[in-house]
Amino acid sequence: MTPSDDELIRLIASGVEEAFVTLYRRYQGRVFRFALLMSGCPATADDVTQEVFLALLRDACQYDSSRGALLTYLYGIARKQVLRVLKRNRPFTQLGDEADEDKPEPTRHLISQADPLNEIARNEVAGAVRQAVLALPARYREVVVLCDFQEMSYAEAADALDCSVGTISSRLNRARALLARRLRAGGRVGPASLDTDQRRCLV
Amino acid sequence: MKCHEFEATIMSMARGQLVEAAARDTAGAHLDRCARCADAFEEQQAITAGIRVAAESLANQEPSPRVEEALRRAFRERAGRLAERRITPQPAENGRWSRRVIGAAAAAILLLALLAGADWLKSLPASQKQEATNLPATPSISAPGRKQDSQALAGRGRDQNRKTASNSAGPRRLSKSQGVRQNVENVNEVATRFYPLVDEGEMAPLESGMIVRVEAPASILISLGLPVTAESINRPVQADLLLGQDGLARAIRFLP
Repeated sequence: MTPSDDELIRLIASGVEEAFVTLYRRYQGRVFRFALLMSGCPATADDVTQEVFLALLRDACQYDSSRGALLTYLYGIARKQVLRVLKRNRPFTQLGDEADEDKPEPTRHLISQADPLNEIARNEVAGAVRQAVLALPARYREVVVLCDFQEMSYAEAADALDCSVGTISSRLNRARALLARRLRAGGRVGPASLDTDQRRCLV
Repeated sequence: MKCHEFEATIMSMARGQLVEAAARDTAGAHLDRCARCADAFEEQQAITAGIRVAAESLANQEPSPRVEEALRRAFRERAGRLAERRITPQPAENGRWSRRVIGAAAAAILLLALLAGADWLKSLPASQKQEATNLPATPSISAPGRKQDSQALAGRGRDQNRKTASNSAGPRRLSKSQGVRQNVENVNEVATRFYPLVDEGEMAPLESGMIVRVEAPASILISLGLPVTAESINRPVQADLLLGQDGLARAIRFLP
């Protein structure tokens, strides 16, 4: 029988290494992908993942399952770590700022033209979407990553981001409108709009 | 249904979320009539599809193995530190233990001294025996278990040259009723202050006590943090043990 998160947390607090490894393997992929989508850089995502589980190791006794799922708790830590990295790189950041949000752009349905059976086209679509997501302001990006990529409910995302469900809903609407605009613009979302860290990782 | 009313539903439908049948039908009817909303709906569906493709492309992405290795290492280090902390007594506990050991040693010495004292009393003639048992009482020592009493002890300690009535090697009975003021004038020995051998609160308050002159190894001075010279390390030291009403050693002081 698969041990529950609570059982694993108890075992971790008692010093059982295998419990820690089991829990790590259970959630490492999701935490890593969240960090990757938020930062655009695998090395940063590695570091964030490591920091998240180190924090869990330090504070395993402080996790209270009655206050939310463990994954939500982990996303909360990952988010703080990613935002710290993004803040550190802010001097180089040219990600979608407020002024850019309302600029009108020509309509072009790039994504719907992609053939889902064509691997190359799929890769292009995936790359375009990922770049468009990376170009979103962080507060919109994290909502898209959690709700659309990680398929969390609004309530779970609200827990992870420590805000209301209404905020999640409105940010997601706004984020998707921005995504649509950027994807319509096609080639407009490119490495030039990414920060130094992200450019380095995309090379 | 107006366009802005439809916007709330469009997102849910485009994201493939469950929408109430009635709301879905109304929205469907609106899409048939409104080209702008139909375009927006199509666009959002395309975004959902694009996100799914992007998510699938990342599905197998995982942190590098070095992360798990680093975390395992961190776990072992932490577990090792915790285990070490459990095994090794903390400094405070260590001090308490050494005091307990000293207390036990002192109690053992006391027993021997009491036996020797009893033999000595037996060997005396009756008149001398009477004299010996009517020894003047030394100043009463407060229980080190009480704060104010500890302070009193420390106060006595500051008065390093306080003289005590201890001409005899035999035990002397002390009690509260006899009081501190008694017989201070009679003393003519120089002694250190009393060093408590037990922590505050570890024993019952001192109701009455007994001082016993003993010889102790010089190492006892070291364990109490007192200076010992190289020449005197092998010489026994003269000490007075303060025993409580329960017979347990409470404090000790040293004579030159």
